[in-house]
Amino acid sequence: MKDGLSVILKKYGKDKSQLVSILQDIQAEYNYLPREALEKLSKKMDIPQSHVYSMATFFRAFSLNKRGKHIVNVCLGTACHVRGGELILESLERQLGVGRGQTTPDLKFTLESVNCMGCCATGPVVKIGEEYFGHMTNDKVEPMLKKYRE
Amino acid sequence: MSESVSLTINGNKYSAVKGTYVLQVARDHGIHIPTLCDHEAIEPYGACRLCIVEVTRGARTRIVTSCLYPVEEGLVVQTDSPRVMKNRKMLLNLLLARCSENHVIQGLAREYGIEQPAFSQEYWEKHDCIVCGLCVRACEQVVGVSAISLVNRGISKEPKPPFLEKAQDCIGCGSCYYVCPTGAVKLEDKNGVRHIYKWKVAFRLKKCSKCGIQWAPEAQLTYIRKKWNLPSDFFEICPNCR
Amino acid sequence: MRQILDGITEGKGQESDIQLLKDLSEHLQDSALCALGGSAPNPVLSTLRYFHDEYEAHIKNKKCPAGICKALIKFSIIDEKCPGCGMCVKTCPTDAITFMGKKKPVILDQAKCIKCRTCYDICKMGAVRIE
Repeated sequence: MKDGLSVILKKYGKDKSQLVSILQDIQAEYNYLPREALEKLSKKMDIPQSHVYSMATFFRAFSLNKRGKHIVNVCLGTACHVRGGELILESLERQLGVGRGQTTPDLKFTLESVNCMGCCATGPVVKIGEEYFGHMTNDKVEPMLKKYRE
Repeated sequence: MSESVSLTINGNKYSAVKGTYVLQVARDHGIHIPTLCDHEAIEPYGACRLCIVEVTRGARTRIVTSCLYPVEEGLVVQTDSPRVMKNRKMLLNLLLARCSENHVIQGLAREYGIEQPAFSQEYWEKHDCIVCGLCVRACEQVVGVSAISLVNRGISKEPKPPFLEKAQDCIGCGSCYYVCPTGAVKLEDKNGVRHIYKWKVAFRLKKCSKCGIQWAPEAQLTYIRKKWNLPSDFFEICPNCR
Repeated sequence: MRQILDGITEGKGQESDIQLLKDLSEHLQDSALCALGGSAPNPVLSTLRYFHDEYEAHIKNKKCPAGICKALIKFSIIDEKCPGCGMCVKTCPTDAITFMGKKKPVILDQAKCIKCRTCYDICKMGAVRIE
């Protein structure tokens, strides 16, 4: 864990305005924002812990909890909402057995919702990792997850 | 020499230094504008929105927060036009729904003639905090330790210590408690210990070696001593005995 | 605002809510801190303008004409249209639909139905009714 963080911190030096980019890099490295990393960042960059924490909790894209291998994003933007995004989310909640923002105990899936992915024409949209699934219906949920279950 | 501009507030002409805020100018001339999140020692923020006024510049009239609106030449300000009052009333109704049991908010609502809250009881919440961020700003700008911050966002935003645990950088000075407009930050000195429950902290109070009074948290005194490079026995006696 | 709208979709809306929503929207347009806040009530105002009858249906008749609000709708099987193919039986997540044999209409158990709309989407015969 230590190495990745040091590289990231070195890259940005003491430039405090880069806090969001640093947090993004940390999240890319560890898949979430580990508390120790944030504490170290605060110390190294001389930014109060409260500022780091405030920033990390403000943006939806950051997670302070360990996340699963596959991140399932359900779009609930206006277009997807109208086309039944909520129903897909509920279906995923049933299938994965976790609520919104939670991770399955086997650390395979984290279920999250977003407010628009910019591909409204194919709504309702679900994104798993980097793969997009458009025109979702409830009966497509299970086959979609199957691939990622192994 | 700083530039002077003339503006109109409620029909009367005033002159003011360019760049000062409307709220300040109004107050200097004894015009009352209600506020919650404003404090003379802290930068304005525009969070509570009670200080809204109607400003007219040319043909355009709009509602702005006076605490953050700099005066300009020829500006026309209305501090209690029907539009302002309507908006202020709705604000107080919203605050009242959030802080249904807070005396400060209840008092303000009464002052503005709200007999019957606009929102039915099922929406009432029992917060004291209005998330104006005054405590956070005081901690950052006045004290300089930034022990607390506003965390989360939207309806779940609130002032909290980092990681929701004990505020490690807090020195117990109590500035947050003194500036809080609604009494949401509670502070208690008992048995020689200062508690600020919202930040989950407790501090031992320093005893004056002369009169024995417990006069300030040790952590705060250490912080001041370090900041100003004062001798280690500088705070042995309280200001009264000095 | 959201709580009031949620209340309406759950059939708990009162007639005074429409005016309150309008007042709130205007207030938000006038005095919000950021420009996004000022435009946030636009969807509410435009739905109030163009779908006023739906608001009334939800509040006065406690009905959802579009068949979306779960608290106000009921799923049922149109027996004459159901060929008994069993597709819905297989996909129903709560086993609320019982297979009665080929060419016999299936039976939907209201107590088990969670109104997830899966059966409605999968039925090719249009035999699921929402009202």
